[in-house]
Amino acid sequence: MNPALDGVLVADLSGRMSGAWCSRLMADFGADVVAVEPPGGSKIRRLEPLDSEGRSVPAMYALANKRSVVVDPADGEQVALLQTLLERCDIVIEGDGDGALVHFGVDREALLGRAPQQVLVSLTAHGVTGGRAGRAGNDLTAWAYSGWASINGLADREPLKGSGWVASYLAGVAAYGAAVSALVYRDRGGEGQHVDVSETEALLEIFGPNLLSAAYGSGRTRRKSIDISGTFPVEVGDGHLSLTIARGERYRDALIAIGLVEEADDPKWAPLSARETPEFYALVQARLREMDRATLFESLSALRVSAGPVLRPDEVLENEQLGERGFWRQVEEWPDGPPFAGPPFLMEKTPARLRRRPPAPGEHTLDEVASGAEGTTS
Amino acid sequence: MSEWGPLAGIRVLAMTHAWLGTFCTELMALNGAEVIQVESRRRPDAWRGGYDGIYAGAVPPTPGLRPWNVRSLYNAANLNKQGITLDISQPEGREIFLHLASISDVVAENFSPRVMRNLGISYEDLTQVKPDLVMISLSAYGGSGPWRDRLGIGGTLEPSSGMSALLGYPGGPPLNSGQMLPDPVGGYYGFAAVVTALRHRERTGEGQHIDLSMQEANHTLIGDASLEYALTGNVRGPMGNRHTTFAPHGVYAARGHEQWVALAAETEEQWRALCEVARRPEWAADGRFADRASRKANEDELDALIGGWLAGQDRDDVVAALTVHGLPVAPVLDGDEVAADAVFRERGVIEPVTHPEAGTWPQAGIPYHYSRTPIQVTRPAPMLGEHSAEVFERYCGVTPERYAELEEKVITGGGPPPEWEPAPQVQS
Repeated sequence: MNPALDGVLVADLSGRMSGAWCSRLMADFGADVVAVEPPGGSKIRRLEPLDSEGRSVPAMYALANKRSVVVDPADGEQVALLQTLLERCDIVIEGDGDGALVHFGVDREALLGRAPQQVLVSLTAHGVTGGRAGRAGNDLTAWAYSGWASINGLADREPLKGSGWVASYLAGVAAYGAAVSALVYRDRGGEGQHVDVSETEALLEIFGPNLLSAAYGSGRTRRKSIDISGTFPVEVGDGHLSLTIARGERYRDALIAIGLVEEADDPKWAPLSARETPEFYALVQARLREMDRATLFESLSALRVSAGPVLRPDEVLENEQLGERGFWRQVEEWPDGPPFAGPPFLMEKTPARLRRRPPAPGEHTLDEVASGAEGTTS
Repeated sequence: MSEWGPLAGIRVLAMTHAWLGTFCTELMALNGAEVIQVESRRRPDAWRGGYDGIYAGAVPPTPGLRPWNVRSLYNAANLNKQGITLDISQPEGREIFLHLASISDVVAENFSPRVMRNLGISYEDLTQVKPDLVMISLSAYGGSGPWRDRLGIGGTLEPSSGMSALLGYPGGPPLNSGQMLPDPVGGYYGFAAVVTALRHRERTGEGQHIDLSMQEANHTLIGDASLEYALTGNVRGPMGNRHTTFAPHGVYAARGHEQWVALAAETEEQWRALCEVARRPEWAADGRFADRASRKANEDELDALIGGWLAGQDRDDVVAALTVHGLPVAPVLDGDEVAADAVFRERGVIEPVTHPEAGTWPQAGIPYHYSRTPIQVTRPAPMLGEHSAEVFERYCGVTPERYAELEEKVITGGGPPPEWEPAPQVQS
């Protein structure tokens, strides 16, 4: 059983969470991924929280399954070795600033000229062309520029970005799809090419329905107040849960499931607009506070009413569904290490493997990776 | 067959609906694959909104306008596809479907596992007609496990994936994102999975089935939070716009209604530049903000000072000034502003798309810029059944007479089936 990306050599210079997640997926599906870091290590290693040994948890998540080399851009010998490594690569991923090829003294076009079979991915905040090329950007600015922050959060509060590095990881998934598409094209008799992916645009792409609704649909979406319409989780006895009780033909069943039997047949609540009022919200919310997430989720699911319990990080780790699906994986070289999430799809012929523990910066030598030695993590 | 994009020559049969699967297959179409989207006349895509039309005012009144063809949600998520209608619960419809599957490289579906079992078009069934088929099933919780038949939509998967518990204001309740973010997250991952399988097929000739869980897809985007709990015992909660490491890092109100600035300072240089642009040398000299750790420890005070300064400033002037100094800074754009943004238009990611019934509107089109195989928007979202006759004739040899028979049997065609009656209008 060969991994899908068997034989693919990847160098990731990006130093960004987006690039790191993109190359982490490549490693999971069998590519040999080398993280190229500046002296002192990539800046993602400085992201908190830290574990008891002072290691960055987000960096461990994104760097697992890879090798790491450190390259000093001021050292001509190291840069020459890096050039050798890059020319051997099937995929090279660069970022902005000190994660850009040019920071390491490598010219993008010249590299593509010397390695015409290569897929060279620029994964940056704003793309490599256009009026914002080269500008600083992060998750916060991606949520703001893409339009998503304007609809995230509550009506009477400030717009919200998504939590943590959601935009970066998402851009990493998007870039993975583009890079492997380009690899498919190459393997079918084409050549390599440059792929320009912007973190902001990866998020903007999925703002599309909102964009068109703002233009000619039901109007521009605004931030809302907490209600029962299915947009927000609501309070129940032991936490929060989302349910689509106000909507659709199932509202009667849902009302019966939560014990509001008489209300289910009251014509007062038949119009959708009546079920989107504070009065209906108060009625339902009072009942929901007396019930727990598991009971509600089970009884509503049985009636084909969509519902979902809010799970905290500790609860997700204990979740029966994720557990039975084999979603949590131990690193093969770190059997007593923590469980790692994902990837989120099961491929029957080319399953993912999580082989290497997250490397320390420069744990592997440039000589060994540039010469093509597979190497193992000690 | 398209002749552009890295997936030119790949044919996809899409039994996808709403947003999760349609976005996955839209990405294939945007990358040059030929995507044939299958719908049923008796139950068109939910994102068309049904036949009753709840879209008064959506587009200017037009003679012959059919509401199900002009819904903005559907038309935003199905670019570059051909649309056919086919009732595969009828033997003649199933026969056509199997033929189309036999000449396709990929079949994608996002029904619940229960529906696919009932339809009898499992991966095993389809490999009888196409042995090297790549098939992806996208569902709420995946095709196995105790929750496999539970319903889920974006608004209920965001909580159960663990995302909602981390989205919100510090100390506040868990929230969901503004619009069903979990669907396109699954769609992006589905596209990634399919091209991975295509790469394997190119090298080995072997197809395979992919089972994607939306719950899992969304959890990977916060997987560092579950790793944090496993390693440290800390249960992360909502942090608003704050960062685990840097301060300031927030969204602040500028002068005017709904004028917001998102800004962060991640380095000492950026922090000093912020103090300079704000003309607040006292901030730079304040011991509470002397370094990264102290700024993070005194974030409430810092946010109050920055908020006080920005309240009197013009949003775009501040963004321009801080950009010059290299800070990560952005205006919070709304939908209208995104559509009009000069940089997005310059890069071609926002471009006008003309739909025969809905008109011409700016849409989010291409997410990737390839140097050798550039991608493009060549078609608006299909109208219901728009390409049925054409596709059936080209690939199945269906004559116009035969097509008319199929239409009469409601196996294909466009618009509501004969027995359809408008829903009673409820006064609200």
